[in-house]
Amino acid sequence: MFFNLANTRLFEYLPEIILPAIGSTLVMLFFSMVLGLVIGTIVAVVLATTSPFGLKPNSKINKTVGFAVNMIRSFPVIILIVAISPVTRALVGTSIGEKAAIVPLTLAAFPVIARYMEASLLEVDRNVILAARSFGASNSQIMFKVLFTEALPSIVSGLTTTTILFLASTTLAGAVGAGGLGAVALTFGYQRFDDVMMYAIVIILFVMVLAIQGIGELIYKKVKE
Amino acid sequence: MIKVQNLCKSYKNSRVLSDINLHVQRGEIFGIVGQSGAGKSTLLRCINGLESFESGKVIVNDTDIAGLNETAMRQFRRKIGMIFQNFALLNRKTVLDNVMLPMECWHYPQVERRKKAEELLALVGLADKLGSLPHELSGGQKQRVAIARALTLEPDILLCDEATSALDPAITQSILELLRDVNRQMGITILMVTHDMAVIKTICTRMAIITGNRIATTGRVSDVFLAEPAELRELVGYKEIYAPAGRSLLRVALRESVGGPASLYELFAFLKGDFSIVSANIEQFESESYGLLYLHVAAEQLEQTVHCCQQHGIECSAYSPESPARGNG
Repeated sequence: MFFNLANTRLFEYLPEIILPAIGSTLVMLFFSMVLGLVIGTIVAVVLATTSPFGLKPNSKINKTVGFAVNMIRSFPVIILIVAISPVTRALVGTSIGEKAAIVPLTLAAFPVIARYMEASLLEVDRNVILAARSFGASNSQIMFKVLFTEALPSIVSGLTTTTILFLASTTLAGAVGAGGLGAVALTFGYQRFDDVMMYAIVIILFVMVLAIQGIGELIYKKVKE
Repeated sequence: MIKVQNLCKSYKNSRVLSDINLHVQRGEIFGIVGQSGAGKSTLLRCINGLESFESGKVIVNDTDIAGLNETAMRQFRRKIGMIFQNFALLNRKTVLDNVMLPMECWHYPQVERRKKAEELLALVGLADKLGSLPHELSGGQKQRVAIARALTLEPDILLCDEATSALDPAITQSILELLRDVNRQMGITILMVTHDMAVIKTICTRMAIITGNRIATTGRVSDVFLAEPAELRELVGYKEIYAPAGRSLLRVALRESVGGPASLYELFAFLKGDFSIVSANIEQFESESYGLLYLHVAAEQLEQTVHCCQQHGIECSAYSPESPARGNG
């Protein structure tokens, strides 16, 4: 038999190890997404405004911010976690644990969110912008009353994709001491040859992916109408 | 009202507008026609400052727009409404919210916004669609919403950028009637850009034709159609009629003011029955209508016939179906 149910400690670990791990994965994901969204939105507004197709093109600012964003995006998450550990320690007092993982995860997430959002904002019909200009709307009114309103469904679907992407990243963070489902799958499953344990966690992650996708689609449908 | 003087504009190295002169009077409906890519829309956008230009002047209501800073420009645009070919509505906002948006941007009180928007939507005939989203409306209804939105800030001028080009003829007609009402009842000057001659004929009092980035003709619509300059023929195409060998074609226009049946009788008497009518119809314009007759006469009589017409106040000219601009090639 491929799965040795007799030797697995899955059921024994379920209440005290797996359930808290689900909690800490969700905490890491939630806070890194919320913080990433806040910073990402600011960066997206700057990028979309200064873009050559934006409300106030400014190639100097656009290129500088774009360069920084691209540079951060080129770091693999696991390297980023290690690379910025001194910064993490300075910010939250420790470089281990879920609280510490939120810092590099946020750092990795905001450029992705910013780029998705920038693309969504720039996709809005040019004529709607012209119309808003024609009745005297200011650039910030166009950005927040017109572009964000029109781009919202597209922003929501970008965020859904990003959240699922970063669910996978939180498990990577587990490899360097952040805890969460990734760490449990690795230490209690893979390293102890407990396949049932390992795959059980994969299934939990799978359900979480489905849930995020489902919620994302629900919100999308709601805002699309 | 709107004065454009020696306006020039280029995109990178290509000229879009050269030496444009235009004078639109208060209260009129002025049409600008031209082929696509002739620079009509760009000209329209120069007037409300959506596009910049290199040289020349745009003066609207005695304001030279070149001297406006950003805040003054926004204030200036408040008094100029604009509608577009693809309606440019916010797809995620209801009809009511779309119409209230300009007032929201200018911080009108909530109660006033709603009242004004409801009034205007009733005016354009959409009082029952307040809560609808744009995708639930037909093209004509969307344009009505756009018109209501353009009127919220009580503009003096309404700019229409191919406003009916995406609509079918019957709907176009109803939108044009609405625009005419807006023009007459609210005294709003309308400047419209179109490639549709029917639009020009139906509601415009004066027109300009843009060819090759410059204004080729300006004048009262009926005068321009009567004179039928080469650039107009290029736009509407030419009538494919030919005279048999030894005969010459003549284009005769009978205006209500000068012509009339009496002078036509004089012409026919002069020709002593030696003519045949190839085509005859009545051309209708916003301000007047006239009869247009194509007939052929003996080639050697052509000159005398034209002379006879002039004596009786009939406008007439020799006609050849080839566009004069293209020559015989």
